[in-house]
Amino acid sequence: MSPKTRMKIIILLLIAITIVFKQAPKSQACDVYAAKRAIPPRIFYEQTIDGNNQPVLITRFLHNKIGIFASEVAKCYFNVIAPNAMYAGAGIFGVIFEIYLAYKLVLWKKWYILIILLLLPFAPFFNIFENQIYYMHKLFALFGLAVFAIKK
Amino acid sequence: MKKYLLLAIILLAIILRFWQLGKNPPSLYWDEVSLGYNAYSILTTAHDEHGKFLPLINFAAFGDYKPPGYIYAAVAPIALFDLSEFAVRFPSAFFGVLTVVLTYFLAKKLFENENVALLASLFLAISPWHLQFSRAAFEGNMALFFSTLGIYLFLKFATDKPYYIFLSAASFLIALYTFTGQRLFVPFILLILLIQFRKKVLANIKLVVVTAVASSIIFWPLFKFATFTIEGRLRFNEVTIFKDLAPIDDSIRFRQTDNFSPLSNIIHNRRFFFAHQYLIHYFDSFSPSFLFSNGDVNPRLSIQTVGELYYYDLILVVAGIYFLFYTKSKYRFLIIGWLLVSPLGPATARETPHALRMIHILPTYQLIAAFGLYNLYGLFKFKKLFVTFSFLILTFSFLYYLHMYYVHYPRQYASQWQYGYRQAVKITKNHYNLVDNIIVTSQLGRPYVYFLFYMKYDPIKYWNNAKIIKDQFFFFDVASFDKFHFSNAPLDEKIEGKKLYIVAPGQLPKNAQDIEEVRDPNGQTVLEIGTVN
Repeated sequence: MSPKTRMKIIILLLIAITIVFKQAPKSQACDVYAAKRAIPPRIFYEQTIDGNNQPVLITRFLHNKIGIFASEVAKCYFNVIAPNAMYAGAGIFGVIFEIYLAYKLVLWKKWYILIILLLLPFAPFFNIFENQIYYMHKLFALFGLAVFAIKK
Repeated sequence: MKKYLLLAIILLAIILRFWQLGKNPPSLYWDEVSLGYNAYSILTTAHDEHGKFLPLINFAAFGDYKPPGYIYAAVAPIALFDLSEFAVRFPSAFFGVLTVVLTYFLAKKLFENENVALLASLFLAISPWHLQFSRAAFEGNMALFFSTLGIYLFLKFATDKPYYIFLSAASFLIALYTFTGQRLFVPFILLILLIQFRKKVLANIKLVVVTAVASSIIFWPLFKFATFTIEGRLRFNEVTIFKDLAPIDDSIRFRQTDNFSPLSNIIHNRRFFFAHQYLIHYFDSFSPSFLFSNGDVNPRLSIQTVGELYYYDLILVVAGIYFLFYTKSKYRFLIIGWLLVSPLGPATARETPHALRMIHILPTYQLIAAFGLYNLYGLFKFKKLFVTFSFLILTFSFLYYLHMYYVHYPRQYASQWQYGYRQAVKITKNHYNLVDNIIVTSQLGRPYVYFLFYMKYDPIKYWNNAKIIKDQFFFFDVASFDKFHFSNAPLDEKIEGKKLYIVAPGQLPKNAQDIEEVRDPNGQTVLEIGTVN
């Protein structure tokens, strides 16, 4: 093994260590129950502002349970996939290598793997892996790092 | 056909920006009033509200030293439409429409495709982010036009004729003299432009150097003020994370745990803690909740119920980034670079993500989304179905935004726009000649400027009788002018004669007469007004 290769391996190992040992914060409660709880007050408030003068059909169309529930689901999902969540879970190198992994999967057209990666952040919403979500970012970052190491 | 489509988009942009401009947002925020009154003061006296002759570097205003661009731009509308909400917001709406037009030309230049250009300008025309800032007097929105124009003219310099570099530099300078946020954007975007067009720059190096020197001379007074004076540094020092003590405390605590060993001094160096904070604030700018779900947490900067972009933009932006690289788009470095450097400046502040401070990120998202949609269209087999489906999603998202903006927003967030002052001044005018003193609560914030604005108070008279105090943060606080006295505790003011009180609900003296109330659009009382003999 040449000294240059050895140096590369050492650097990659150091990066892997920073990803693995990055202290992950506790994840916030954002699940199906919280989303359901948010519906009644929001729907009441929004429909009250619309008032009686507006046709009921329009009010129901714009402010309905499905729409509010979907927006709450989106909020929870975004909390998990936000760059800051990646940073909190896996550090700066984690962010870089997670994005790198996604980019490579798109380039290689590995759609099934990509879909799994994109669907996994929904898990905490259904109380699955709710406390492990930051470890998921570590895992993806390490995959990204491995792909990078193999490519280079 | 495409010419008509562009005209339709411009017409849509005009309607969305000018319709009910003076009524929604429901009231003028204090910065808007200050910009308006200073412009009025320039128009009538050629001096600012503090009596300074035609300021070129800044307007002292509340002690926040506003850049002059917007104030001078508001002079003509005020001359035309009188001192009103519409006139004050006119420059922002006007430059908002121009930015939509400019986006069309910029996209056409970047992608060499008219369909993408039309889509990009349409996306900006209906963008919640851009509409929010185009419909109120935000200096940032006007500066956005000039920084985008600067980028466009730089492209013209690189692809057409070299002399466009002068116009590009002039545009960037106007942007710098219009909005403070541009000071931490222009240097970075120039760097991106220089890298993207390095061959062209090197080929015209003499011209570039001459332009750079001339621009530096014009920029020097502003740079000197912003860097070497307490007043200039004040605002930055107030908002920056680099003045926080928490990272230093953390650093000391960590090093103390390690008995201040040399290795600990390196590992737990305070610079790492600051870098960590900075990265958190930088990544905040790309928070999907901010972009697609809730928008800015400040209700003046977003309507809260719709993100800065629409939900469908999530797919289009991701697709757009992919296609930029996949198709090896000629200017992908410029577009992605623009997107990535835009939050570098705003990330130095505590409040992130901040839609106003990083408004210069527009219209990158719209350019990328348009490119994404265009290429996705090319991929689909059932094109009519794709167009119908896209049209329905886009229309529903847009109509929902309009409903929330025009029906919900003015009722839910009127207080965020200091609602109530205009109505209070109107009532005050009826009592003005009948009372000796008018005592106004300061609880809604900076009341003096609203009385100057809505009474069209003569600036010369104001300079001569205003009692102005500089507080501990170097901000100006007006204690009184004419018959008006401003106080956080109006009932404690020892003032003789017949008095008119304008106070928060429940604070009127017990013996007050002719009581009137100012209510917000939700029916809540915001101010109570009454006379006391």
